[in-house]
Amino acid sequence: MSRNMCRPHWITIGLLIWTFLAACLIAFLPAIADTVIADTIEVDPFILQAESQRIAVMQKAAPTVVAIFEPDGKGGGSGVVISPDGFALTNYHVVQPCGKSMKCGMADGRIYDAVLVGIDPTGDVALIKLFGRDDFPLAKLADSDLVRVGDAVFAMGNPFLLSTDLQPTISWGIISGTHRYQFPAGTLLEYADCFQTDAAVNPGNSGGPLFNDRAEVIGINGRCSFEKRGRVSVGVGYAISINQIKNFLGYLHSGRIVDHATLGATVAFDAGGWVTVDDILEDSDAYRRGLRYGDEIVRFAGRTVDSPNAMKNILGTLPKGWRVPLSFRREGKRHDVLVRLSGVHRQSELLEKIKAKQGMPSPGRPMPKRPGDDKKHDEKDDGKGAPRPEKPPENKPRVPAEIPKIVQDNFQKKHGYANYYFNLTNRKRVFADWAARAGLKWPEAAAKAWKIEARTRSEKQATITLDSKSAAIRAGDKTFEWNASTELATEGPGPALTPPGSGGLLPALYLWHRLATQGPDAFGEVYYVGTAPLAGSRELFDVVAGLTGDLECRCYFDRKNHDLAALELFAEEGSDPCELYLQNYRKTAGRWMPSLITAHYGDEVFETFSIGSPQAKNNVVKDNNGGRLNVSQSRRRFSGAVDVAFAKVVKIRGAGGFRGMEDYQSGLLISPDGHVLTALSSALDTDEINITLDDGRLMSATLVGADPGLDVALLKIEGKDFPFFDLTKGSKLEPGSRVLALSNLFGVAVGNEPVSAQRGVVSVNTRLVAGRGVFETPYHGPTYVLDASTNNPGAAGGALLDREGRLAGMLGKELQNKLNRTWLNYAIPTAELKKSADSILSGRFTVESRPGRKKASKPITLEQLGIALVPNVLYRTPPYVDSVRNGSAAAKVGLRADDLIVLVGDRLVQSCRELEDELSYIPVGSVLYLTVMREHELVEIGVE
Amino acid sequence: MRLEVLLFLVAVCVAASPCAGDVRKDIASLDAAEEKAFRAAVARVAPSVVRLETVGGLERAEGVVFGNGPTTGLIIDDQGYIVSSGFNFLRKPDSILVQLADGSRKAARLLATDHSRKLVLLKIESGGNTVLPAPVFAERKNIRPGQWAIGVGRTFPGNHPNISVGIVSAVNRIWGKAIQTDAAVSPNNYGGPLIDIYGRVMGLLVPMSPEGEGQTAGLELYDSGIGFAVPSDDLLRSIERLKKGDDLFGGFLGIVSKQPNLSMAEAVVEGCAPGSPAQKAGLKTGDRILSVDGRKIDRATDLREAVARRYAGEKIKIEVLRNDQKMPFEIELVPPPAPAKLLKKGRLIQKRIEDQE
Repeated sequence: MSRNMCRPHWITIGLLIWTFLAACLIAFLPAIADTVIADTIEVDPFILQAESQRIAVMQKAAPTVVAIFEPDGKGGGSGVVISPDGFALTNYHVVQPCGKSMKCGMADGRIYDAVLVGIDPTGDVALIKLFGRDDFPLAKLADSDLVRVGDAVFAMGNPFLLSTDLQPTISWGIISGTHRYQFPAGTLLEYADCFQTDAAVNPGNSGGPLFNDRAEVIGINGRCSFEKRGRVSVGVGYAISINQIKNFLGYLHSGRIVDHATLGATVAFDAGGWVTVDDILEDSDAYRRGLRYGDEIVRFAGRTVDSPNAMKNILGTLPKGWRVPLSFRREGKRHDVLVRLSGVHRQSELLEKIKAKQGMPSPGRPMPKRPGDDKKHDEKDDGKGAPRPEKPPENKPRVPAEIPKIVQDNFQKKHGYANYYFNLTNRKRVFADWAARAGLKWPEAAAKAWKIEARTRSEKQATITLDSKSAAIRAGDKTFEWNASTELATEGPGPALTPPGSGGLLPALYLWHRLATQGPDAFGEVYYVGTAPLAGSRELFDVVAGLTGDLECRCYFDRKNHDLAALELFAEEGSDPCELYLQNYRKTAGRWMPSLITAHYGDEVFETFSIGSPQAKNNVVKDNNGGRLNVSQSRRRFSGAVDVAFAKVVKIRGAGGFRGMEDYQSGLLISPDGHVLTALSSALDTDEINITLDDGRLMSATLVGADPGLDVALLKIEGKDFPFFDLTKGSKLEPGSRVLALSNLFGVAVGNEPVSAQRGVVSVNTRLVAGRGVFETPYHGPTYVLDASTNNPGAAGGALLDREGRLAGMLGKELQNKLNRTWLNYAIPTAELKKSADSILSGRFTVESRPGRKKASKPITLEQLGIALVPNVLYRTPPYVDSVRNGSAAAKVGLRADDLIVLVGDRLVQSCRELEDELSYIPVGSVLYLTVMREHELVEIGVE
Repeated sequence: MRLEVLLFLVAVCVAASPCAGDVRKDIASLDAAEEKAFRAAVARVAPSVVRLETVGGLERAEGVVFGNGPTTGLIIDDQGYIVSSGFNFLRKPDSILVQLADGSRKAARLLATDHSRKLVLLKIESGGNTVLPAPVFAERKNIRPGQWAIGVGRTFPGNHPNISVGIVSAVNRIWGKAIQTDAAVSPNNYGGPLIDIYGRVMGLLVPMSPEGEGQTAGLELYDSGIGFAVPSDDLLRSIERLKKGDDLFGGFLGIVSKQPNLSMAEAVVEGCAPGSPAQKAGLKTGDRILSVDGRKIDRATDLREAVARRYAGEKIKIEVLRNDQKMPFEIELVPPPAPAKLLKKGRLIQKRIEDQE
């Protein structure tokens, strides 16, 4: 072998060359591909890959998005399909004008019929069902607790009804804030614990999905903040978190009109800064569990409570009737309890509000402003973007479109329900699953009596007998009996809750037996409630409510194995129920029965019954902590440098301005001793300027000074070691530089809530030419113009950060670009801020005029040159030459009548006034260089 | 044996080396890389982006008071043709100045206006040592929702291009006349290009609106995350015609629909506007449109798109089904009539299919 190896060099050389060429090809193939496609421009494949990925993710999401129309095709909102049989989420205010039926367009180009299933008017959520497929493309629901400020997100929907081809509009941005709160319109459409995004959300996007970068739904878009521009996006949209919707999803499937939770207590900061109870209803469950005035709230529903707003946010995500853990402290001792949440509204109240037809404005007809609009619109919006209640638009009733048969077949009207049909189907499902699991058949040939032999907690022998008429327990020498016919009689006092102290153990057992042997139809009034946790569990159970006589019960069915896990008996309003827990099911004497029955009443275990052997353990552990893992405390997705910048931005509140100018804005800490730089505005015209820091501390500020030339003011708060922006370490940016604007625009953040983050790029470096109305800002210095919507109330004084978290500038005020009358998004660069801050601190106020230009003491005049312009009658009369004096300097160089003077030097002059102003800088004796337009040609002249 | 192993190792190393440490991946993070790419893309098209300054003209038109400021245009070839948004020229200025990227100024003439695509074509004198670089254009069929879209204007003091970054939101909007972006689009960049990450022109930014046809329709949507661009393919076709000096108007056919939502409506004639080409050609109520210019029509929106694409003066081929019989028509489109013609007692009596509100 070795002999063969040594000889044919040409083979090995050839192989080597071939390998080398192949390697080169592999290395440069992407470049070649780029070159071929892009005509010699190179783009880093790293970027192209990220772009392709984004395109693919959006393509994956698009088929799940729905354009929702009223049955006759009018209106327009959005939605997203979440199950293959066609259930879809949207806003309540989108379906409200539709009635029970809607038409849904999807990206496959088809129009599907849909029926209303359930609504949550307070939370502005609705569930609908599309028909026509059993394999609808569906969007996965994310865990919205994992969403962080800075995450890339995209919204999809049908803003301004642009999707005439049924392909959704996509807008892309970041999460600007989490756990935001938007006040309700009345008591409906409250957006608690919602996401704030700078992805464009416009009228028509309502009800549509907000996706993360994996095409999972993290929220449903539904509200925006609007102000001076009418109803177009200004970069502040709000989305209901999908985790909140998950809490309500079971309720929505029940076809009911669902309500939100109330605790029966309110909280506020006490003098020491703790969140304490400042009011409580004595008939609330919280009171019964021991909560009192002055108690400090620690945790609620598995989340930390560090402000009253946090409490409001958590509560806003919970449905009425849920039972959630609450931890509070009194005199150093911690109490962990489970509280039952009642509803915000009485049932009748809620129905009234819905009927009152708070007509939401149809999204197809915005009333936005155009730059330089002649008419003065007075924007009466509350500025919080709540859809305004309007009078019903038409006087004559619309002829209702025909309801498709499939919708009619899936709809049933009943008072208090959005669609009773789905209640029936879910009720049927739950009981069918239960019957199959437990081997039940309804009705039983003869309602069998149950005789259950058990051992009590104290090891006594007990016999429980249940039949269609009565319930009895004999334990040792004690016997308790409960007769249904007498106790459920309509006159007389309510049913006895035997045995005493049990809250009604016997009636509870009786109801269990009745339901199991007679089934839901014979039971009384039975309806599906939805899904809820049981005894603080993390998982949700199917809940059914039953009413017979005066007894109301709630039955909890395990969603995995369909066992009846618990039955709660509510005998009296305003008192604790008897809770019956049924565990460790097995076949006993031919029946599927629990081997452990636990009865709770109030905070105590009343009794346990163990059936059969071996002795089963009581494993009803009431999980008072909510069982939730402490999700990572990191609030933001940004790098460390950007993340720490949030603490250096403050929220400023001052005097209420006039003409509707907001009294809040943002500011920057620029020294460890508490110097705060902000925009000079009328909000500071007061002795009481308050500053709220990122950690929630409220401090009083004094005005140190102001630089009217830069429109900047310096404030001071007392203290030391504040986190601050070092103005000497600012960065300079170029157009295209990615930036992050941190500010408290629209005053969304209160207390210790972080300010909002918006992402964009520097649009251009330029000189500022801006103003408002007839006012023009005196600052004409270097400015960053941005493409992010920072021109919003409250943003002035905020931070402009570069990609690495360094301060690049301070956000400017709500001014218009004087050149085209559009609202301008701009920031003043750090270098200018530094000069200003230094000036103010050293006691000087500088007012900069046009840099480097001084008016001539003896300026040149047109008269001297022999030029007469046309009469200056219009506001902006173009400087046409009317006549040239014979023999004058102008005549000598050939200037003629009808020439239009366009440039003086290199400065454009668009009016006689501007021309004269320009001339005032040019001293007599110098050559006047003009460019004139003569018959569509530019002619340059020097006049001496 | 040793030589063989050595050569093999050398070959392997050479093959493996390009995979380890690609020299273009020396940029630390995607953010930084994208930032550079935005700038590079803008730099590529910037020489073709010009600043337009106007002198004189109306103070206001269509209810809008005009600012004085410069607007943007795009050089499209080396012959001196420049395209811009019609919005910028509503005021009928006395003179138009073009400032090229190198700072030099030229006088420009307005040649013609495309009222359907909201474009105007200008001409400056070429030749001499005037550099008029034409941009590279991107084909519409390759554009995907989600890809980078960068708007470029040249309207701020200093004559540097101003840029705004976003994505392509949709590729078929305003009856097929526009691609949509969420990059900030406003008078700051109307008339300028919307480019991709390669710096190729996907389209020209103009104000547009699904409602209303005037040159300022859509202005209220500026900087709202909803912006429109006339796709390059349409742009170049239009320019070829505008070069001849004739204004272009959208084609009007006159088929009426009474449906409030054309996406849900069938393409069935529910009437013809009086005196319209549809009526004159003999289309009748009940006719079902099967195809237009060879393209199959399923819904009323398809019909509207097919007509919106065409200009007045062009002939459109329509195939209808009447009483189970296929009937072909070739109809010449006319300019859209003034709205007054459709008013009767102050109320619109019919909605034209081209006039969906």
